[in-house]
Amino acid sequence: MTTVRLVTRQHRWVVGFVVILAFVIAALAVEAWAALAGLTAPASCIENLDAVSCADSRDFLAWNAELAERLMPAMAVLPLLAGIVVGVPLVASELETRTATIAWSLGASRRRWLLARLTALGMGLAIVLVVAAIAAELLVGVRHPLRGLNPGEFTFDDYGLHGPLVVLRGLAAFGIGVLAGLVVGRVLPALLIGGIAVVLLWGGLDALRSMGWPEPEVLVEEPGKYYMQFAFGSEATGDGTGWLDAAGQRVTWEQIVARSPIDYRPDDEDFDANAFDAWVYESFRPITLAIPGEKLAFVEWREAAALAAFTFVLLGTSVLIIERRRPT
Amino acid sequence: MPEPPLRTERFGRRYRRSRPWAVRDISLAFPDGSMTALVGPNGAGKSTLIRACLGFERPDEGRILVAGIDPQRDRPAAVEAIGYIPQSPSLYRSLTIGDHLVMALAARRSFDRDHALARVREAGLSERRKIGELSVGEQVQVALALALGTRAPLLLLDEPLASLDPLARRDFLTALVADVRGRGATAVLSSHIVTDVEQACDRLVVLGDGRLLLDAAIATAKEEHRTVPASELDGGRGAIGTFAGPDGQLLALVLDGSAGRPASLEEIVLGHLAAARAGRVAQTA
Repeated sequence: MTTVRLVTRQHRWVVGFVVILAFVIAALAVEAWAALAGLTAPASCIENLDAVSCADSRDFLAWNAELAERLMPAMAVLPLLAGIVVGVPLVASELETRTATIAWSLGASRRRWLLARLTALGMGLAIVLVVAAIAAELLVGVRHPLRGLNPGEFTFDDYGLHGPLVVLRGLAAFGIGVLAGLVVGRVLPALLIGGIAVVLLWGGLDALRSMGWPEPEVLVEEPGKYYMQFAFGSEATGDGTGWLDAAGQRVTWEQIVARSPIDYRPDDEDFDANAFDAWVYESFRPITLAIPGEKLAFVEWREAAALAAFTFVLLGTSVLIIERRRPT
Repeated sequence: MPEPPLRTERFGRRYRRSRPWAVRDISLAFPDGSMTALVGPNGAGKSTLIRACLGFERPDEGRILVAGIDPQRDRPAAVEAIGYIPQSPSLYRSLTIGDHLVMALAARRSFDRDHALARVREAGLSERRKIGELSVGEQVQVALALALGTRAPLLLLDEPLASLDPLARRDFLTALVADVRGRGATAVLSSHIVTDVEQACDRLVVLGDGRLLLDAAIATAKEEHRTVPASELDGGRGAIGTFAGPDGQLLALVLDGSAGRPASLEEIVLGHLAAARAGRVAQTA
C-alpha cells in the first residue's frame, strides 16, 4: 500500500487526468443508458417512425445520435490515451528528473522497483478502465434498437468499444508506454514514439482482425427478424446478401433471372414486377451472408488473449531491460 | 589480506568509441575505515568512477570490486553495500521527506529509518516538508540522511558540497565524519572544494584528464610536497607542475624535501592538475 500511495502521489497529475476523463465518459454513458433503457422502440416503428405512437422511438434515436454515438468513439480513444499517458512517465520521468539514480541506489533490485510500480499504476489503470468498460457495456446493451427485437442475440456493432477489450487495449498501450519511456528516457519523445506505436498497434489489430474473421455463414432471413450482423457481414465478405433455391444451393441474381418463367425486362412497361417478385419469393429464400453474432465472444476473447500476451511480452521486456538501463 | 571495501583494477570507461576515454587505467584501493577525497576538475571522471561502483556505468576496461563484489556480476549485492549521494540530490519533488524515508525502507529492508530521521531533525528539517519546498542545500541534507540511513559500510558522495553554503558544508561534513568514524565505515567524497574536504578526509585521490594523478594519504602528501617560486627553479627542472599563486606569482610543486615551504593540499592538487595539463599540451603539440 505504501508503494501504491507514493507512486500515485508521484504521478498524481497523470492519474488525476485519466481518472477524471474515464469517469466523465462513464458518467455520460450511464446517463445515456438510463435514458435509453427507459424508452421502448417497437419493431413497428422502424418503418413508420413518424407515427404518433412512436414518440419513444424518436427520442431513442435522438439520444443515440446526440450522446451515445459520440461516446462510443471516445471509448476507442480512452484506453489507448490512458494507457500511453500513464505508461510513459512511469520510468521516463524518473530517468529524466534523475530520481532513478537515488531509487536504484537505495533498492538492491531494479526489477522489484519496476514491478511494484507496474502493479500500482497498472492495477489502477485497469480499475479505471473497467469502470468505463462496464458503463459502455450497459450503453451498448440498450443503444441498438434491433437488439431488443431479437432478444438474446449478440452483435458486432461497437466491437471493441465495451467489455474486456477496452481494459486490455488500455493495458497494451500501457505496456507500450512503459517500454518506450524506459528505452527513450525522456517523457515527451517517448510520448511521441509511444503514440505512434499505439496507432500502429491499432492498425495492426484491425488488419489482423480482417485477416482472421471466422467464415461467414448463410443465415436464412425470417419475416420480422432484423439482421444485426448484416453491416458487419457485408463489410467482412463484400457480399452480404444472396438467395437459396429449393435444393438449398446459393444462386446469384443472374441465375434467378435465367430460371424465371417470366421474361425479366424491368424497363419494359408491360413487365409485371409484382408477379416476378412473387415468383422469386416463392422459389427462393433470401439470405444474409454474415458472421453470426454468437461468434462475437470467440472473436472478442481471441483478441483479448492476443492483447494479454502482447502486454505480457512488453512488460516482461521492460522488466528484463531495466537491469541494463543506464540512469542518466 | 582482507578485501578493501572498494577497489578498482585498471578501470576504464569510454562513452563512445569515437570519443576519448572518460577515465582510463584507474587502479585504486580504498582502505577500510578511510575517508577519501576524490578531487579533480569537471570531466575528470569522478562521477563516472562513483557511478560505476553502483553498476550505473559499465567498465570498458578493467573492473571495480565493492567489498570483493563486481557490480557488473552481482549488482544487488554491491548496491546493498553502498550508501550514495548523487551529484544532484535527485529527490521526488512531490513527496515529503518522511515519504522518502518510507520509500527507502520499502526499497531496502536494512534501512535505519530512525537514524535517518534523527539526521533530518539535526539538520533542522521536519519530515513533513515536501522536497519541492526545500532549498538545494536542504535537499542535500535529506540525501545525506538517506545515505546514512542505509548504514552501508561504503559511502559514495558525488560532489554533495557544491551547492552548500560554507556553514552548511561544515555541518554536512561534521555529520558525515561523526557517522563514518563512529561506525568505522569507508567514505569517498568527490569535490571541487579542496579546503573543505581536507578537514574531513584522510586520503586524497586526484583525477585529471581521465587519469589517476595522485593517490596518497593526505598527511603523507603534505609531508612530501613543497611549493617554491617557479623562478627559483632552474628552468622549472624538478617541478611536478607550475601554477599561479593567489598573488599571481608562478609557483612550482616539487618533491624536494628541503626547498621552499610545505605545500597546502590545494597547491598539491593544482600542481598535479597543472602537470596533467602540461602533458596534454605537450602531447597535442
